[in-house]
Amino acid sequence: MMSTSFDEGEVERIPLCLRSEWSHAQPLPQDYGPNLVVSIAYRDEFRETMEYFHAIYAANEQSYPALEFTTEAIGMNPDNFLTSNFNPRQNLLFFSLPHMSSSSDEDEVERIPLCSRPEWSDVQPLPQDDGPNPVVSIAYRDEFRETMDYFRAIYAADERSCRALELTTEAIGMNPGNYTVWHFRRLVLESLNANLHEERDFVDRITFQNSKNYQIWHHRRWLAEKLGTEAANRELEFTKQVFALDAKNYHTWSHRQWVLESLGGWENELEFCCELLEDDVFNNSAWNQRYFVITRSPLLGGLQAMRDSEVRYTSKIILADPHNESPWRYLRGLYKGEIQMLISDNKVPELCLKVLEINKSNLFALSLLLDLLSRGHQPSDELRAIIGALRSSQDIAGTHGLAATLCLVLEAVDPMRSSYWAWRRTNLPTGVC
Amino acid sequence: MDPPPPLRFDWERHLLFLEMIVDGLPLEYETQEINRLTLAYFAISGLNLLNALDRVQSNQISNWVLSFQVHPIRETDLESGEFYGFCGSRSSQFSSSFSEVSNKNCSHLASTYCALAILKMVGYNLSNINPEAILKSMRKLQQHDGSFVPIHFRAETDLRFVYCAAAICSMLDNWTGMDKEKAKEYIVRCQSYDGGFGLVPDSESHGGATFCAVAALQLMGFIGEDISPNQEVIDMPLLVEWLLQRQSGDGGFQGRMNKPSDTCYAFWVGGVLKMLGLFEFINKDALRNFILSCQSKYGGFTKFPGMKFPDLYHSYYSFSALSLLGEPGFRSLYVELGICSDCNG
Repeated sequence: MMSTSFDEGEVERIPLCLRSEWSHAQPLPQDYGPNLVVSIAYRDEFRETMEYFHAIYAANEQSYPALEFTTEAIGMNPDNFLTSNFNPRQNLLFFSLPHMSSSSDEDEVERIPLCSRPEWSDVQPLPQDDGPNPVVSIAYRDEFRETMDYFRAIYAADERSCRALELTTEAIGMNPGNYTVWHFRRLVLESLNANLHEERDFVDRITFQNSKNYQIWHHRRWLAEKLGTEAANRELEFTKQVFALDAKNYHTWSHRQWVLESLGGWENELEFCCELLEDDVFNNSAWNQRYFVITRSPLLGGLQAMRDSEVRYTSKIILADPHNESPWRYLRGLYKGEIQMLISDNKVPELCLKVLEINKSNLFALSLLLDLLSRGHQPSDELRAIIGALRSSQDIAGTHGLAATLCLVLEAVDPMRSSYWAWRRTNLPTGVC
Repeated sequence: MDPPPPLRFDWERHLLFLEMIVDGLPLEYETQEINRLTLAYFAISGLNLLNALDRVQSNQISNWVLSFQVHPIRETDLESGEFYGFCGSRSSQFSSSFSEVSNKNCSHLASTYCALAILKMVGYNLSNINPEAILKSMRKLQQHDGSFVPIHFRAETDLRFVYCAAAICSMLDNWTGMDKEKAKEYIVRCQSYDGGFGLVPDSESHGGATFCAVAALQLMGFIGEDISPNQEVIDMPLLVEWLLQRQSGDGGFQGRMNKPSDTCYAFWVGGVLKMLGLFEFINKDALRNFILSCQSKYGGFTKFPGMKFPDLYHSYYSFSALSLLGEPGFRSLYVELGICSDCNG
């Protein structure tokens, strides 16, 4: 029995005619003609596989079973796709994208083609001219192609009407990434002096299915600018709803930052960060937002004023889970532009030492101590003692300075980056402890 | 128990994958149609990396790409604020009889970058494409803060388009297309408190944004392979630590702190390390294993291990990362431009 897939285990092949998922297909026997490469007697499974392939190819069946099936077909005869008379463009091999178009929703109403709609009968659709030898042609569905052909006509004619607006809605539904459609929609909305609150309701609805789409967020920004500061609360609320589904959505965070800076609403932002960090203390987007608030909020005093309370807050979190990289970077960031303060503030090395008491191989504590020493921090007796103890526990022989010892420990506890730590050891600034 | 055999890069499968894509893409790529030139760049550059560019017709490719260029009609057009570069797709391109009305030119910076990269790869002489028109009109896309909009009508501005502009100037070997100082100022503002770069100032540090920042600074000549601290431009030691910590326990690279590893960041983050001369500091075996654990039986690569279907974007960046890793048979990359080294003549 030939294995029908490239997986390791050989499974006994069930003939396609006995498989329930293929009961709908009528295999198409083919005359392979004189160009056939292999002129031997076919195994039954080979013949059957190709007959079913011909059937689904002829029907252009682009389904998941069809995809699985092409794997079998390739397994039997990979050369078939290169030397056969099948047009590779029609191949059923297909790939899923992170975001399917929204027209795959269940409760979709059956679409009437634009060419059948009386209100569009006066418009001549503009097909795309891809030239004689196009590359990466896309196998557009008819409805997609038709919608874009009509859009092209309306856009070229610069028709700013209600039906144009509706057409952009349809085009956006199929093709939400098309910035030309969005741009034209904005022109139409302006020309019609459309109700922007209704527009925002529309955008709210489609954002959830397309939350990683740049154009939708840009459109939201345009709307919010038009609506002014009264839009601030609504936008902040809306981003919260998106965060409930995806607390790290990059576009949503950028949008929220833009809303705060342009329209205001800072009052509860620090509290919001606290809530998100309570939900997930590993959420680096929330840490980034916290930094944004303490440095940019006009209601707080700025980084200098907030530093002490933020160091306390962050230290508690680090001690609760020292493996979380985010608060360590945040802590370091609290001293941005203030290296002297960083190396002379005892709170930071004391925190590192406390962490090393709980977990002596914590790479963030070790590398922060290394950073401090490299920049001229004068070690306390306690720090010397701890590093001495680490040296023994890691069986490090020979005399090394404190910073060099830390590098050797890091080589051992952070093996993924061992060559980096080895390099650090040979590149310590002169005069470092 | 014996260790599993080392994973093999499945050459034939990937070549078949790319060849089919150069010919055509399935309907699921409808939602990517606005970026068709980018998809072409992935496919053609992918074949180039796999040393299989001879499987496509250079003339066919260059003719097709050139058909996306938007040409000014009058000299005064270049002062209009519109960008005269390349469109990304037919849905944003209108025949010249409509070009009298100004809002029909949808040339885009990212498409232009991809177009020039493809043309360079197939050996087309870029002095034939009226580079002056591209550069002069591109300058109009630069904003007061140094960032770029990608298209003359309103759009988002972020580091991606600063990178595209720098790459375009570099490929055309002519820096009149942008104010480099202002661009540098904008990039510097994008460095986060943790050393990585965000797409816009104050945003979270991100692998893709960091690539755009460092590649642009290198192309513009503001930084080189000097990774010493006390640099005027950016906080280098902080950046280096951020970059190296992106390699997770599974060997892959994450795009942001505390997020799962994803194959494309093997290029975005790995590429930055390569540009800075620090690629030796990563665990190359672990990275290779991670990438190959995302190899698809259909050809191409997936975003994460265990996913069923590959996509062209993650496939291309996996190929790029394997090139950085020196996978046998691959051509080497000129990382800053995202094209093979020998194409950068």
